[in-house]
Amino acid sequence: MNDRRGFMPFSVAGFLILMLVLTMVGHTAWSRHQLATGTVEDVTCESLLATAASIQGDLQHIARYATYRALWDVCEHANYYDNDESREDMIEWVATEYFMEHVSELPQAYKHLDARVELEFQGLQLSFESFPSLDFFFDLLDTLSAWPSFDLHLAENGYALVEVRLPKQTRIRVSSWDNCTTLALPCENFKVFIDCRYFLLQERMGKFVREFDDIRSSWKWAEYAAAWGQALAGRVKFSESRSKTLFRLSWANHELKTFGSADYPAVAMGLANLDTGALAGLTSDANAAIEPVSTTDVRMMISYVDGGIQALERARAELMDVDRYIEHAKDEVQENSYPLENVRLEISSAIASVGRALEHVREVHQQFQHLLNSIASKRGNNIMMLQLYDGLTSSSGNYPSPAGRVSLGVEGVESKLMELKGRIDAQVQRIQSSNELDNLGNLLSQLHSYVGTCVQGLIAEPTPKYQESYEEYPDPSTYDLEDDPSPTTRNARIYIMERNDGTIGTLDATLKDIKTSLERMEDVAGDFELEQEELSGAEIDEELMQVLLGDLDLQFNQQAEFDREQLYELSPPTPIRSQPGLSVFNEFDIRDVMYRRVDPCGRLGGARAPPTPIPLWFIGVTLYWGQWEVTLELENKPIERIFDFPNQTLPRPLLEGGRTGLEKIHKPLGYRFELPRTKFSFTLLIISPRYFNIDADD
Amino acid sequence: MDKRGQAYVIDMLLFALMVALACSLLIKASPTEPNAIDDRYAANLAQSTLLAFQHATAGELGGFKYTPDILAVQIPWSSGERDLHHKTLAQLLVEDMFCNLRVEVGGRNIAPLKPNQEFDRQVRKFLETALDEIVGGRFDYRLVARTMPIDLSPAARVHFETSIESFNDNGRRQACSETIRMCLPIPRWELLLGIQDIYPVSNSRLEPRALVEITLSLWSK
Repeated sequence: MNDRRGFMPFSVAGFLILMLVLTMVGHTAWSRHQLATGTVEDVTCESLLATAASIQGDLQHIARYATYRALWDVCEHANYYDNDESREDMIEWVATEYFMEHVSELPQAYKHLDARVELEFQGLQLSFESFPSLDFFFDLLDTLSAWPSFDLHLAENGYALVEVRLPKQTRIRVSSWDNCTTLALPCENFKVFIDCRYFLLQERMGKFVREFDDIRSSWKWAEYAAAWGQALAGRVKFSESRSKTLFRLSWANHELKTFGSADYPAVAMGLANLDTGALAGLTSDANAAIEPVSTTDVRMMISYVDGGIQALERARAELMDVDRYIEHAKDEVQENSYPLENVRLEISSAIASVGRALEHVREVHQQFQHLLNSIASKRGNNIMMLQLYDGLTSSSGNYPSPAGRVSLGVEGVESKLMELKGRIDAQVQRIQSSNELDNLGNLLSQLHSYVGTCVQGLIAEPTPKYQESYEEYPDPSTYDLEDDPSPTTRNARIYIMERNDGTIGTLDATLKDIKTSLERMEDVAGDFELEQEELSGAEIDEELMQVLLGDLDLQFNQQAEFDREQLYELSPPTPIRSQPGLSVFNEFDIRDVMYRRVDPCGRLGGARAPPTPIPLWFIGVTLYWGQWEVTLELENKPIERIFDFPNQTLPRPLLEGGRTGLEKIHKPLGYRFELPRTKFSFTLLIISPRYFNIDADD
Repeated sequence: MDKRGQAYVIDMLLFALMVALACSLLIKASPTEPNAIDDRYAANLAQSTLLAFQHATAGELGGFKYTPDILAVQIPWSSGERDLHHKTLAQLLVEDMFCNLRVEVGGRNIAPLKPNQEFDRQVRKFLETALDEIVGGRFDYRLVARTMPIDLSPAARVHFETSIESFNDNGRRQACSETIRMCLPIPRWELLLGIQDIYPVSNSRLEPRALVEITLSLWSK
């Protein structure tokens, strides 16, 4: 026990343990400090990044609202710009300006709230108290390089995308509270989606303006449909209220075609004062009523008549041959140089020619029957064809109808040719029984004399059996408003009153007269078809008619607080068609509608004068012609505005430009266009086979 | 007790004292703070949520529609419904404030006569659903959005504040609070004109720029 070597007191051991623990704790503390320092740096960096990202987000947010405002401002006066490019340029300018207005004060505002944040914007110091003038932009041209640029692009489905390029070296600098960590994030380009379909609105309005004349065409179609319907019923009357209604309807039709909707609430609110009676009958069936007769049909009729005339030519030639054959036989016998067999052959040829002439004359009858059958097959509900068939087949005076005259004429010629054939046959019998050459010569001389007289009688220039005078005005195809509208007196001649009058000459004259009348009809039809080209495809959409004439249960009392346009801004009408989904507003007042009568009788007798007759004497038809210059004038330049109905996303004052304090609401982007045209006119031409009265508006 | 015995006792006591000291040092130094990790996660989540507010659209979260009640009259030809599915959540919040700015005079709101209250209601409802989905599983939350008050006079100011929260107990420990700031999308001159319609204020009295502060605070459940 007394040996103390190797002895260590407990206190020393305890001291050693304490030192060991202190070393461990010290090391742990140091490690934790190191870890904490790292964590603080991580958290600081994350926080700084989040702050910088939120500022970038705010810049995008500002760019979006700057674009919203620019779109609203520019689209309010979309017609101020020459083309789409200049309009888009202006939107970019105005958006840049609004953006700068916000951004120029942003560094100060952020710094004020959070000293860590610093925005570097190339020293721009701009502020605006109101909407800047164009001069403002020109003054700033020198500093353009320091400005951000906005590029407006088309996104999907007509939406807009704006690409913002900030000046170079634009940075967001964020520092930690202890200034130990600083994050400088370059911020030069970003894209922002704009949730309204500006490009769709621009494209559709462009189409509306480009095809603006379609309104006039549709109005013309509607007026034609109404007037032609009246003409067939026997009384044409123009009325301003009807024309105003039809014009508004045509306007709505153009809207529906272009935008998929129309300003139908205007009708419900009673603003359009529609004469609903005028809308009845404006269906696609009206097209059939408007067409009097097609030139193709008339040309086909003329071709049948031509066929008859050519058959008569051939008959005439055959008859000349008959005369020639007989004359030849006679001459040969008289000169004693001709064998008898040859004489017989000549006479047989003459008989064959008479037979062929007979066939040709019968062909005239067949061609005329084809003509009548063709007209009969097209009669249906076509008034013109009915009238034409009636005119050709019914007698309207002391003379047979054209078909009767042709029929009598053919029968008369047939009878004469049969008689001629019979006489030649009889002579042939006598020639065959005669053996003396002298007697044969006499017989042939007699036959030649008879044939000559007969052929001359058949092909001679005809003499009229009946004459009638009538007045003829210039027809639409040759009519000029500078011309004298007075009529000229003409004589109509009838060559065939009975069967005996039938000769190739009288038949030929009769067919040529018929052809002349048909050719005049073709001219009139052609003239109308020129007008009709414009009417093709200009029909009023039946869906629109259903909406307007349907059960529009839109009881509504207009609020004095808002005008109609403001009301549409706040609550645009649901579009008629879901695609493309645009609401439509229009505003125009019709000052006056004028109808100037310009057909010859109208010029001579005034607005209520009967229609000008176009007698197609030889086909038994009289066409009645009325022509008007119809002009409509608007009070002011019309306004058309379309709204992006599905995207009512722009936060705007409740009442634009008014004193509504801070009241705001989401509105759709409206694209407003003031159209320059205030006058619309067209020529209304009525050609009817039935007489109609004309009334002027009271 | 002889001297050796006394020395031995003192030695033992010193030993015991030093061991006790070493143990206390070890105990004090060893535990880490679990809350620190939780707070960091919460802060990250809050920052991400606010960034998502700036970039995620309402359409991505099921869509947002509302029918304004600002018009006193039902217009028969229109549904009046606004579909704002392209807007980001932050946009909805900022526009809510933009459409419901108030002028407070002597503690009483005098404007607007027709606030867009339905929009406010629907935005709050929509954001509540969104926050429930994003943070509601792990944390309780409070989202406060307010304009920087614009003082017009000592007694009058323009402001708007809205809050969406998942609980009412303020006594619990807050895990984090993150803030982003955004511009109120109204030019100064327009704001001035709007205010001047209802309250006389001179140009110079107006703050240069109206900002909105959006703060998201999270509490551990």
